[in-house]
Amino acid sequence: MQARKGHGRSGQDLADFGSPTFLASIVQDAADAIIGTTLDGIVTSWNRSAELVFGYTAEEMLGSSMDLLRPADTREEEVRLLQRLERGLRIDPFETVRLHKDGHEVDVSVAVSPVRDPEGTLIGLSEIARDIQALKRAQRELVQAKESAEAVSRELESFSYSVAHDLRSPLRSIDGFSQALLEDHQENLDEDGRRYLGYVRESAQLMGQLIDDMLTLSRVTLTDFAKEEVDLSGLAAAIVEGLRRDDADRQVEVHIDEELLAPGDPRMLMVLLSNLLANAWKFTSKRVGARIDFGATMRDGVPTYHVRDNGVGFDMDYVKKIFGIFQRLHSSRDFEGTGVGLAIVERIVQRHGGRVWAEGTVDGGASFFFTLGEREGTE
Amino acid sequence: MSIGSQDKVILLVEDNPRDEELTLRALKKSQVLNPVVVARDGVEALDYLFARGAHADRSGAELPQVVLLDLKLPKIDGLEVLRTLRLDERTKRLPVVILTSSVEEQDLIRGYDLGANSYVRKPVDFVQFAEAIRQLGLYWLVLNETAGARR
Repeated sequence: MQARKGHGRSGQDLADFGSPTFLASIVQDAADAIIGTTLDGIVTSWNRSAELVFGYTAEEMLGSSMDLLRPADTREEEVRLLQRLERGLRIDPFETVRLHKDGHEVDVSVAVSPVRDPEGTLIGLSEIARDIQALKRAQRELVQAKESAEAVSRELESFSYSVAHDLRSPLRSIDGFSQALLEDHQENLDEDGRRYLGYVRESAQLMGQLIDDMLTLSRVTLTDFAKEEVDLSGLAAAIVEGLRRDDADRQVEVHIDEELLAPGDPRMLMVLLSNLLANAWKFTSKRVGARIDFGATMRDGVPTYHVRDNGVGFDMDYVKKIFGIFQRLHSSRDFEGTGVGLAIVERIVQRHGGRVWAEGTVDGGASFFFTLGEREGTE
Repeated sequence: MSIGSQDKVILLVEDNPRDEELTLRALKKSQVLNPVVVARDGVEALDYLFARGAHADRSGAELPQVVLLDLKLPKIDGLEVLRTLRLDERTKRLPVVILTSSVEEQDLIRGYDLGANSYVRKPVDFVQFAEAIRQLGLYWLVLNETAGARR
């Protein structure tokens, strides 16, 4: 590193850099195979990397034909490319297959440029070939990995399907016959007996809910994505109406911003809002003067939606866990739930290319924020 | 209040004996008067409806008022039974209610495409199940007395 700023090189030094010896050493030691040929494809120069890539020494190749390296089925194509060069056209680097001395095929990326004499007449070709076997192998592995991932995902889909059928059916029996005992054999059961049967039914129903939630989660992951303009305000209003209908005793003040439209998958967004609003509904159940807001603000130019409630809230120390599957921040003694809802919410937001996060304080309510399509949806 | 009538049969196509018993119990709880015939697989259902095989003696007998059809059945599945019914002049308009555990939308769409009149998902919760059956009974046995012509 002598050539520092302020220290000009002598004329002698610069001339050395342009000398034939110097250029030859660049070619000889280049990482890519560099091969010179006549127009007929007779090899005139062969560097060390060419030896490594194709297995032939310079002695073996100098004077030999490039056809030694070309599998029969690629020769014609290469000849066509070379004709373009002869007509003075450029050819872009291309990928092809060459033969190694020991017979195996080598994936290479090839750049060919014309060699002209001082008068400008085309006298030969120089070819730079890069060994891309590792790249090709990685590509093939990637394709295989993708195919097997798709196979697994199909398997998962059919698994989900049988889970839906086969697990629900025995659960229905457990619940149904417990109910039958309660209704038809009351007189044979004491208070404890009736209470225990109540627990049996409760558990069967919770498991049914768990199965349904898991199915929703897998459907959200596996189904195709439909993109259209969705009326979030309308969806939210319909969901709240349903919540009020199912829970007519509750007094909850709900405010929904009007005309919130967003591009997305209507059914997934329905599930998303259902989960967030049902959560808000649930976690304000012990609050007098319960209030739920659904609205949007612009944050850094991105529409950011929120569902806010003044319910029991949560401890921000556990905020990282809140979207995890089967993670619950409240005991089922206080609030029922399967711990799948927010995992579904996160999955849906991710499929829309957005972000979701939560803020809350213990006893001070919770806010869930999400964006849709900060970047394009995944499909 | 009891609904339905004693001279029109309900055909329940169900292979799971527990579900069969629960459905029968729910119908009874809903005061449905109609006798219920149970077919345990798709073949039996078609034999009954077309009065052939083990049911050849039914020849010329009336069709049920409504068929409650499970989808997942041995031998011939529910959708196949439905397809067969819709292709036959005699049973083209027979009211068929699909009764299933399936939550798959594909099944629902295929069911309607094949001409199902209703689709009821069997919930885990028996109380909901009984309610679904009750409403079914109400609709198909009372409100829809002339079901044959309605689609």
